[in-house]
Amino acid sequence: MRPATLALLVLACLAQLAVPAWWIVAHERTLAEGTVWRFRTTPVDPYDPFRGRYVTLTFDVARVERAPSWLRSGDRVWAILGTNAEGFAIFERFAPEAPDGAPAVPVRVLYAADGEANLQLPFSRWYLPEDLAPRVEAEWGRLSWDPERVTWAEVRVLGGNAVVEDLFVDGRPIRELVADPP
Amino acid sequence: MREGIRREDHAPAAGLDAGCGARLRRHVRWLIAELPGLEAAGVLDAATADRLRAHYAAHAGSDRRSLTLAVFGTLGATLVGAGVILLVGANWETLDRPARAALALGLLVVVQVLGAFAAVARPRSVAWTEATGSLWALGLGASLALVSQTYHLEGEPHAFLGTWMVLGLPIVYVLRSRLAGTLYLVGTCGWVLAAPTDALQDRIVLWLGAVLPFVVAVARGEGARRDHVLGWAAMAAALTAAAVAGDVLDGVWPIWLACLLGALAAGADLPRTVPGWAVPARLTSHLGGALLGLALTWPDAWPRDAIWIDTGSELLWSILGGALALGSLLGVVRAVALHDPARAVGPALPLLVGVGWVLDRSAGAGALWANVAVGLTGVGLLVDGIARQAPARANAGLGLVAALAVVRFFDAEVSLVVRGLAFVAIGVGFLVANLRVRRAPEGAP
Repeated sequence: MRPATLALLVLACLAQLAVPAWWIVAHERTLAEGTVWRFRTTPVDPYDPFRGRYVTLTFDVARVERAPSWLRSGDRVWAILGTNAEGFAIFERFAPEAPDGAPAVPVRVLYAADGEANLQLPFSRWYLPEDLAPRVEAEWGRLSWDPERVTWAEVRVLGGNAVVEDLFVDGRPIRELVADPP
Repeated sequence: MREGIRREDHAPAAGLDAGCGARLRRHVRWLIAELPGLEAAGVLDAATADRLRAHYAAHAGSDRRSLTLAVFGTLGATLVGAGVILLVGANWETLDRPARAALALGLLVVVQVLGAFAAVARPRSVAWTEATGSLWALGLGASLALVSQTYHLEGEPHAFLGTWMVLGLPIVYVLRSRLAGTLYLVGTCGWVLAAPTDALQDRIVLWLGAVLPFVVAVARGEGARRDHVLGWAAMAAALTAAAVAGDVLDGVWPIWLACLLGALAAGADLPRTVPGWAVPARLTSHLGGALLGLALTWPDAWPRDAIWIDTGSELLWSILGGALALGSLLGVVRAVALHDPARAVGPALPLLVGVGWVLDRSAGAGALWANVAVGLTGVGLLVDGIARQAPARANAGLGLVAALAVVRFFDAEVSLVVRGLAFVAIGVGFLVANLRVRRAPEGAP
């Protein structure tokens, strides 16, 4: 084997291992050390051809009614986290650069005009087994008509990295709810 | 020494290297079939015939054997991989997160070790390199998918495909695996087409070029006959690139496409292009050229957009189009030098479409020109096919004329009787042309 091919082999193996390993380390660290934030959600059930079924999470905070005038469509900005009176996560303010110390997540501005904005959050997927996803969707469809029900995603945030830990309906994990509907 | 040549070191005859293996293997098979006749005619004695048979027999069958081994090796490896994934998948829900992550990484390590073994210990074995190459590429994708699913990673399918393809590209060069190259080409085409914006498509399509050195090496003979699949994947990649170029240079998209098809036709006719590549390139060029020509017989098909070259992307695609046009032009020159004008039709596509484009812009006569050009090309091929006793060429010419007649009948106010008579006339034309080709005396010019 030529030295160049051998070098390419070694580099390829290392790079291929490094990418998923980095994903694992960063997310495990966030799950272990990150702060828990509860984001109000409305799930729907799409499909990813490579990774299977997932629940798309749409968040109340993704729609900003009083957005700063400097936000532009397509911008990537930092949303600084806070909580409302009910304990759910809100975006207190926005910053063009990562803030020092304050808990924040990077977001993309999908649309911004007339003081309003729609944001894309860095966590909007929650993967499920093939058979469970349609049941989650069906259960959600049934429960969402009930105005008393509240759903949220529990998200851990550490240093700008965010990982969805679980999905809840009225305090019960969604898997538990699907297995034993009310 | 190149990898491809080393793969064929087992050839018993010194001259049978990888660069011209397929053609020589056909000749060897012909020679072995001739031996009994030569022996009976007294040209060779039995001992010489036996020695020749023994000398060449192993090589004559080696390609088919290695191809069979490669196919079954790949199939076996894929089945084992799929079985393991199913076994793991059945118990996936019972595994905790770290176990899933470890399994995903473990899968990747296993396919890497198999690939590394093939690259170090079995670089000449087609079965090993193709089987492990495809398994490694698929295992990498499975591993990335499992990790991103386990951690609910954000990202659209095109971003996932991008990560997979970029990380998988070295597999093609480490193992010289055609199947891994095919997966890369198909995956990158998907990545380009799934990209949400034109600007992103524009950047991603450059990744198709990253596999070009390997593709060219194979087209010039590395690996000889086992390239049909990679050849077709390369055609799909070329057409994907043409789609992106057409978006960027929308005012001249037919010319750019004609340059690509012309260059493919010219490349297919080069003496060093192996049959496994010439066939996909020739078919894509001829069929694509016919469809493009027929499409341009409608006035609305000609682009009316303004032409600007003021971005880097537009400049890049224009330069590439120019290079393809130059390749086409060389094909025309070669066909003229060989005194075979019919061979110049494919490479002359950019010229024909370019003239039509100028006529369309200046006098709105692009569609008229396309009708004339397609009709004359069809008649020319038909006449030339009959004169040269080439039934494929004659039928292609008649097919082109028939297709032109059909598309014109769709948008012409002509009675059903006239249409029926025209179809009968075309059918009779096919029969007469084929009869003339068949009845011509052997050795006729």
